[in-house]
Amino acid sequence: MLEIKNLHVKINENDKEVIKGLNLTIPDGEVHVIMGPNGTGKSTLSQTIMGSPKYSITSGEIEFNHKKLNDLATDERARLGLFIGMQYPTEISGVKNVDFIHAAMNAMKPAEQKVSVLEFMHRLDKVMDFLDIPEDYTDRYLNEGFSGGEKKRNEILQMMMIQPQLAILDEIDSGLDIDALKVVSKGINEMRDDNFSALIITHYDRILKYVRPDVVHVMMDGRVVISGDYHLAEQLEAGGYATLRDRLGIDAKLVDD
Amino acid sequence: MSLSIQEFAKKNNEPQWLAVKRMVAAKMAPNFAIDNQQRNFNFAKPNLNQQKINFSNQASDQHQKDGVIAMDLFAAANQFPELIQENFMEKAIYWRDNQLNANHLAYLQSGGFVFIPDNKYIDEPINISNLIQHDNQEKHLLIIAAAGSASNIIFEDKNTNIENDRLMIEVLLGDHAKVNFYDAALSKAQNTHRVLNAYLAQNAELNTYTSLFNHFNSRYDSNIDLDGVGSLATINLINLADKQQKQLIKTKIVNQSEHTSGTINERGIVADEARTICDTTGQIKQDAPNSYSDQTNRLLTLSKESKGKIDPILLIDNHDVIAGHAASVGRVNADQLYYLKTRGIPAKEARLLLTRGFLIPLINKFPDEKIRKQMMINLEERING
Repeated sequence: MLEIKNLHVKINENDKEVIKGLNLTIPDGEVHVIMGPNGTGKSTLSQTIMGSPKYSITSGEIEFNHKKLNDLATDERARLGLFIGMQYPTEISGVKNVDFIHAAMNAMKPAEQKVSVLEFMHRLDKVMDFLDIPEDYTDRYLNEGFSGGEKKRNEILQMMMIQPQLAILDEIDSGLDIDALKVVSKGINEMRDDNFSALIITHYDRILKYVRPDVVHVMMDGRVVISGDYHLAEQLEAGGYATLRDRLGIDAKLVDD
Repeated sequence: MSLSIQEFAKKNNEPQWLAVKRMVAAKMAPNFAIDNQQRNFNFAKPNLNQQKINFSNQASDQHQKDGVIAMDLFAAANQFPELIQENFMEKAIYWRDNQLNANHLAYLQSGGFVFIPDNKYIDEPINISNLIQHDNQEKHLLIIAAAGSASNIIFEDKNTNIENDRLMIEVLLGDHAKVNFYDAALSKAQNTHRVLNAYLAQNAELNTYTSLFNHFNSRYDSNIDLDGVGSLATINLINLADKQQKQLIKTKIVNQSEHTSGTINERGIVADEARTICDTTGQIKQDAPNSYSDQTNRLLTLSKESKGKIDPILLIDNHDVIAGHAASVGRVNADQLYYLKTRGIPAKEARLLLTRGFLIPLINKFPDEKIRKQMMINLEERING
């Protein structure tokens, strides 16, 4: 279970506060979605949960399974079962996809439970097959020369191999054609069970047709302003953020106003 | 109890010209130049003790069938004086150049001689690591590739933990000869000095691939002389320095004649509190129109305390040429490091992955797959201790 209490976060580069008293709880087994206008702190939130060095928590707490994350390093958080699917996955020349995923899987496990190469390749084959990923993927360097869609698919492949307890998926649906969107959704749905939860950050409701969320949150100006079921997303799509803001009487400036 | 040079030469059954040359070198050495950077590698004279010399050709059966000679240098000096007298420390590494060279000649303890016969294409790599006694201080390899030959040659260090280690390698290529040379500098000596110089005749081609994975203070000198019209050389060097290591890497290719081409590619990792200096020179002489000189240096520093420095130098005396250089010293990419960490990979292991990733593009250039694998193994071993 992820619990965020009265979180305030600033961007290190310019000292600007972007998360301003955010509360969020994601119980095990649930898929939550965060929607919100541009520049409202959605990506900052996901990177802060993961411990990106670009952001600092100025007050508040993030707990995962009742363990405080605030001062843990990124790799320690990952080993507790957190995963982030990035909006812009980094390219790393010289590091093969296959070696990277194997290293990541083994990093999660104590020395005596390391995954053998054979076991790993077997599982990798199965997951790649499931996600319709071509074979040459593995021998290519990590994300190097991958198209936008290939990168996102690769994030989902990593998620399914690593089997995290909580996956934060930051705009995993952006830049995808309909086929790729279906594959990505299929991967997320395959992961769903009582021990897995997800936080999907998105601009559009189209992924929600394939991945039915348990809760939809709307973020504005660094806070969650309203939460509901997936009908909330539909209302948003119909009326836009400005209408919702005015209805709720929130004093938030939208970037595109 | 050390023997005198004369006694040592006699026990080795060295021909008289060689014994005399060594004694002259010992006498003249103090008169030759030495700069401050070289002074640290002006080692104390080693003990000259009699060693058992293998007089036979040590090339593999197949290589011997092709006419390849790989044998002890002292033995070869007797058998092939016409090949050795005019080439040994006269063309690629000139013994009068500085004090280090003269002392090396005077106190040489162990050497190897390799000859690739003309117009032979030798497919299977020739491993010459066992031609010398690795735990000696002053060692030498003389490689002659005759006209029209083609070969892949490998040398790997196998020393234990000696104080000082110097190996000078000379490669001489005849007209149209081609050599790919893999040099794995894996010395564990406290001070290591490696020299790899070459002399190329017309249309010869030399590609050197060096893994500079020494453990302590080290100096690497490579000077390639493109003397023959149309000759071509590439230096590919990867290096890794860690702990309190100090590393100096001096590479130079000189275009002496027209239509020559020299390329230097270097990539290095500097970790912990290590320091690496790359001093890279491309020189095009006036008599070398239509020539090409290019150098690329990249150093990646892994910690705040590690220091990397690159001095790229281009000396161009003819204006009808193409020349360029690129150099960068940079820290590990923070975004890449973060990405690896988000997958639970600890910082130390993430750095190792990025280290490998940084060096692999150069390793992949080596044409022989077996040697590429060996380079990877050497890299893994160096990274892990």
